[in-house]
Amino acid sequence: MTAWYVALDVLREAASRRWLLALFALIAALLITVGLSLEMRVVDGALAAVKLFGQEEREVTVQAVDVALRPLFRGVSFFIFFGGLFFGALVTADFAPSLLAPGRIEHLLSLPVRRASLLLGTYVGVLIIAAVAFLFAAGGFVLVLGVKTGAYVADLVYAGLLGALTFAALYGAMLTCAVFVRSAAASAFAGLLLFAAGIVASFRYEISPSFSSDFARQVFEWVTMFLPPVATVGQLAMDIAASTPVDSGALARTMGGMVLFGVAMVALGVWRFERMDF
Amino acid sequence: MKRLGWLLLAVVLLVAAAWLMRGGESVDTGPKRTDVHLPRRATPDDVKRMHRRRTLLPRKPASPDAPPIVEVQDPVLRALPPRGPGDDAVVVELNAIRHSPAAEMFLRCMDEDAKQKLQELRDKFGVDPLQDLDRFVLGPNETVLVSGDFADFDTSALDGLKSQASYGDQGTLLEYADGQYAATWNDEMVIFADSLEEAQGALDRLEGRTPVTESALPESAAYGEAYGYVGPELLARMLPPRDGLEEQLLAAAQDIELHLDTRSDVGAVFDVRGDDPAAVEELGVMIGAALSVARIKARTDGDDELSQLLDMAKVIPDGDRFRLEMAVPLDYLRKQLGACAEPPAAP
Repeated sequence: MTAWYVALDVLREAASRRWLLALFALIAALLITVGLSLEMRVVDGALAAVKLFGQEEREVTVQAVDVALRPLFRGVSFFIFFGGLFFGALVTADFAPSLLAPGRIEHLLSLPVRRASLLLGTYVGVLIIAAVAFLFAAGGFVLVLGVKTGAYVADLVYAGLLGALTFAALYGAMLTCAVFVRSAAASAFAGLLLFAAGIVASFRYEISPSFSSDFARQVFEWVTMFLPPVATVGQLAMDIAASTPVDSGALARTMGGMVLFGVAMVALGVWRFERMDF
Repeated sequence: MKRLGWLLLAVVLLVAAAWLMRGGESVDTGPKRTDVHLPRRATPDDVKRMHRRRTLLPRKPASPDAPPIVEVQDPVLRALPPRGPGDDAVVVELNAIRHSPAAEMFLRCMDEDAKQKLQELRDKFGVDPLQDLDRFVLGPNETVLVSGDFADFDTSALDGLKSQASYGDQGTLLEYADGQYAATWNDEMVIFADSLEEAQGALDRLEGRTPVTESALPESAAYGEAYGYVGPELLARMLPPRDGLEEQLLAAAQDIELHLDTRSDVGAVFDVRGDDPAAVEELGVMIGAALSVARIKARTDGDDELSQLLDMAKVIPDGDRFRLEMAVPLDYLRKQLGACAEPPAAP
């Protein structure tokens, strides 16, 4: 329960962060721009023409509007997923180091709060912020296009949810890095490194044959086995956004693994945090 | 030990996470196979087939004193009468379709009664519809032309045959009791016509006795497993019903060129052209809307397979013309036909 109060405290603190507010303002500005600049002519559920930034109406492939917009949803999903992870890692990097800042950590430890709850609460609080950002971007886009076309396609929101769950893996590593190093820059670096390594891990079977040494290949396969397959999940998010059927069992396993990876990282951070003297 | 608990938990969770994530690697990502091949232009195989069919055919010189002219042309296209506005001229590549994956499935599902009827046709006419026929053409003036191997074709087996006589170098004219006529040429073509003039005209064009006019079907349009020009009524019948659609088709569409591909799945392209770009654009939007409404209805009715088929139907506008594309994946046909469509298990 105390972890939940810590999470609420993180949310309160987030409301005063300029970078975080700027991120939400940027998302809102993009959504408003799309809403104001895009005009669509829809006839009986079929997209007939598109007008962008007041330019002359352009003929498009005449097709059921949700089908015609699938490539757009795929592109937007790519932007939200990968952009969200990248900017999310940068914007949230400061939360954990500020929790451990001299003066504040001593004050927090003087309260009847277990150390594990402090870290867990911070983790949950940041994940709530990330989830709200992902769902705000995806849901806002669905809403804007829904108002324009009359077709509300919720699949992009599910794709946004995959982004939030993937961020759980990244932020687990960022939080633990902050416990070890107590630096916002190092925390952001850890997040971005895991983001890049996760993309590499998604293509481990394609990459591993290129190693000439058996030992190097074995090491590569062992290391990447433990890394979250970020690009695979990104591709799945795009598939879901474009209403392409996916193997739900395999998807559930991958996402379960992502969340466990994040929790494992937090457990590692708690182990280190329990041993620290302040 | 208590302090090591978190470390142990981290290791256990990390191993469990790796097991789950790697287990999910079977996730099939990326664009799914919805890319049914559509006959938007001639493929190299179509061009090869076109060249293979070109035959040396005599052509009537412009003046009687001029030397004889021989040119290479597909005899089936040469035999067709000229096409007037709104006339149909459709070629169906029977042999190619017969050996397509879709037709193979239909043949596997053919019942004994149908097999028996095919055998009766073979016995009666000396022609095997599944082996000897190459092309079926529905030409202008209701001319029907069938090409293939007619070396063993027994014309005397035709019901109501009144008389037959040789005509020209390699032709035979046949007259029926009901006033219909037919012509055979070089054991490779049978032409059915409404009048003697039509039947003779086909043989005259083939043997160069009449000036060659523009073919009902240019070689450039001869690609796919079915191709040619169809009337607006046929297209209207293929589309979901919509108020005013047929009238708009009749008013706006001057030419509707059809191409069908059955080499893997079944894909159809209708290239619709008209003189009035605004009317053609409106027609395209009407067709797109009709397909969209049909798709919504299919989803509402819980017919997911039809809904997915309609997902693939689209109208691509291009000035005074538009392309209507429709596709039927082989998997859809397999599901519709059921277990009989599966190939027999290898022994």
